[in-house]
Amino acid sequence: MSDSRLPALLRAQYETLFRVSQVLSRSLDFHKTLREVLRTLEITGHLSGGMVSVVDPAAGDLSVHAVHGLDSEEFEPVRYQPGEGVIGMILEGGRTVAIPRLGDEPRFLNRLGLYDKELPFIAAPIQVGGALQGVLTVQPDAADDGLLEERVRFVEMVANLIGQNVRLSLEVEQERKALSEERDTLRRTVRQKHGFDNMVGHSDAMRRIFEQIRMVAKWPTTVLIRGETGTGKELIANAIHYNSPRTRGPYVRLNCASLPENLLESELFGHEKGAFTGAVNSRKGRFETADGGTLFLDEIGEISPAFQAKLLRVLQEGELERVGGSRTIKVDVRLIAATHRDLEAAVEAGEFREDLYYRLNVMPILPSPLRERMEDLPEIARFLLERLGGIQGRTLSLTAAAQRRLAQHSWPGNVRELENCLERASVMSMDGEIDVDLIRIDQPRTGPARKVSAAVSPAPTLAANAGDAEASETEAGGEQSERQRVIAALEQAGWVQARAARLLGMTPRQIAYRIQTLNIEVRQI
Amino acid sequence: MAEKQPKAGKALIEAAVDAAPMVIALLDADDCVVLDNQEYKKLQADLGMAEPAPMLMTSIRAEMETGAANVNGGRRGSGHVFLDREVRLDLPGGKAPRWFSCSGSRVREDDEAADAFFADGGRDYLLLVAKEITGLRAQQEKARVAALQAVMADEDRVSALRESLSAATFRLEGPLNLMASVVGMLARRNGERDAMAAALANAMAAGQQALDELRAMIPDETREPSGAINVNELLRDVLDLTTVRMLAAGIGVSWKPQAVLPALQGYPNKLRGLFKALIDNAIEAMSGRGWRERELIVMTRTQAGGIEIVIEDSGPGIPPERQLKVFEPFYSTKREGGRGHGHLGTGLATAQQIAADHGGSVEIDPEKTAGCRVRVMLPVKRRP
Repeated sequence: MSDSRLPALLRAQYETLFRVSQVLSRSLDFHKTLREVLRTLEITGHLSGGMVSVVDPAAGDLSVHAVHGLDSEEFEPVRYQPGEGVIGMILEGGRTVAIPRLGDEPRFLNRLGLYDKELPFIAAPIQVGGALQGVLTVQPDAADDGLLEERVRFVEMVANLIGQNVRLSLEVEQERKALSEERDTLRRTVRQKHGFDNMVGHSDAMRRIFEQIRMVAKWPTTVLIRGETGTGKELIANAIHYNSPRTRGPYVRLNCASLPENLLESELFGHEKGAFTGAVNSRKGRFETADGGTLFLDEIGEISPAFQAKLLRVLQEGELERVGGSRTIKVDVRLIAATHRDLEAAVEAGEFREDLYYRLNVMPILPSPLRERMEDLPEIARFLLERLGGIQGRTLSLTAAAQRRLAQHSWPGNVRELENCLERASVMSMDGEIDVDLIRIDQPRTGPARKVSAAVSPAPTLAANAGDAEASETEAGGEQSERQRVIAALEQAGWVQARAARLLGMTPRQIAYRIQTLNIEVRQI
Repeated sequence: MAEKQPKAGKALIEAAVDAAPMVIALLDADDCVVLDNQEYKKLQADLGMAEPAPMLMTSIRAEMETGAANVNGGRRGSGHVFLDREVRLDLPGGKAPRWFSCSGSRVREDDEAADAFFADGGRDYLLLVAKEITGLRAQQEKARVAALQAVMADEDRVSALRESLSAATFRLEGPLNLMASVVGMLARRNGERDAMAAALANAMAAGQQALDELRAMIPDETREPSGAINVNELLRDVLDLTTVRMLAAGIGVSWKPQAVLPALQGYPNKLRGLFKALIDNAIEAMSGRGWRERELIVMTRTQAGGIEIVIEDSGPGIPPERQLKVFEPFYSTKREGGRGHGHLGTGLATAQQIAADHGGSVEIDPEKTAGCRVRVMLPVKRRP
């Protein structure tokens, strides 16, 4: 009698297996797939009460993951310790458990109240690479007819199939969680690094800038930042982006002067495959990458008229075409442009399109040069030293004399020049205190500083200068230049007074006298 | 006989504890209840059978962490771990909250007795005594919420005015700037004496002046001292403030705070305003006619380096293409004929501003399709 039933069972199992494999290959959504598998088992396989529990690697026990016919909210979270109940037995032994009649098994706990005590029960381990990952439990929907053996084999087969799926989905889930956490952490650090905290100053000029950034951040208006090099144009752009609602969107930066014309175009607008020699793939441009975020174009004054026309179109219509492409792409990008050039003069000279100029100049932000907000200098210096100190792992400070020395320079290179100067000085400082002798200002371009540069190089001209030193000392700032000259020469000579004297065309006695009268602290090296 | 007497004494003490008209529980090191009394059991029943002791203890620890109200610190010597700490318990199912005045003292198990049973000697227990003061506090709380309501309404009005005015001046600034560049170019080309340029420059100057006057009228930011803030408390304040509106709209609230949050350095009124704007938006979104699902979820949790607050409504949601636009001042989905998700003009813009002032951000979760999930991230700065 059982002979006639066996082929029927095998056929049914074959059919079920086929469907299960179909379901498993369909999607990576673990929970959905599992529920589907359990459903298939019930409908075509006559195995009801399907349940999958998965090993929790952290706790080392089993937690129920999917139960056929119940949503995850409907069953209480049930966990099995190793050796606890029939399912826990598998966790310990790793072997399939088959019970002809559940009521005969004293170890059965029936925690979910799901199983019929009169029917057989099969629990098979789900293994991946020899390690137990979970347990699949089912209950055949008829009393044992002597074919339990066959059914067990079948359940084991299904468990094996599920195994790969379980592993994959666990991995995918873990990875996704790790990635999104890392992304959030990174985003936060970046935001903190580029927020207002990095902009220092309490001068009126600076406060006006803060106010402008706060306002402008709220709207997607195009912003033009105009200022000398080193005034922190990029900092302002950063602050706008990270204080705007677009902060979670992409922030793309590009220096227009860094690329030649044709490259710039494909870089910004992207290109289609075969648009030009070497364009083997189609590529997204920066505009497309910045969709939903902010695009910062530095040195906007350096782009060619042809390119300006294209840019104007994006600004006006919010759409663009890739190089060599005909498809129009819509983008939602806030543009922040920056330049140190006199755009009005460029328009006048026909180098810059007038319409683009008007379009860009709607919201100009004009960071003032450092020399116009010298009252902020101590605070900026302190901030920069704090940051440098953080990098070097020690506290850095300026002496009052060094402070004064900084205040006397006109800083044509603005904050960036100040930063470089302080960095150099801090590296040379032994104990973290930066004294005036460490403050070296390079390539002075204006005012009294020019004399210094002349002072160090050719000795012959110096002789003449030194000759009328007494006269120049009466001028305003004369004493300073004399002092600087001597210090610079001493620096160059490695603080050997005799050598410095030669550089200045003086006698050792003369230089010693000057060191004394000009109150120069001599460094012993 | 010698053994019987302490046993009888023990029974008497247990009976007395059991009948005491206040919640008494003896906790071991893991906050597990070793001994409790009738009042404790009653409270447990009111809480839907959840253990009240761990809840009370977490609140007390949170308060001690914040360092607020450390009035009784000087009395530590008297054997109390804490004394008269006021704790609020939120009951499930939207019932009115209850207040307890809690005191705790260390109790050490007798060494001799313990030696017989435990190898590691005596154990420390905490005797938690909680006296219900709901009646008293409810009055105070009512007054406080009313006062808060007045302050918030004031603040709301002023900040809305400030935000609208500055947004308006900003909007005017754009065209003026454009004109300024045109005037500049004209003057460059035709010389300073050009009649057109001069006329325009005059108009410009007038416009600029009007703008300056307008700007001068913008009310100053209300200065408030920054301090250590328990974000959960602020959110609860705001929820209390909006209870009436939510009841009227039939909105169910599920409030899921993380029990202990790190203290945040910030401006309490501003942050309250931020949360209120978001919750008001959520209420409004769900109050549309015929909208069935009305469920507000407010969650807090610690995230690396900060606190995350999630405010989630089951309203119609905001379509992806408008998720950036809604942050613009003056933007309102109502005006665009959108369904119901009406923002108070400058609500989200102000919220974003307040978050930015605290170094944080407000985001609309793009992955949420049904309803709207707003995430507020506020960094916790560790100041040396």
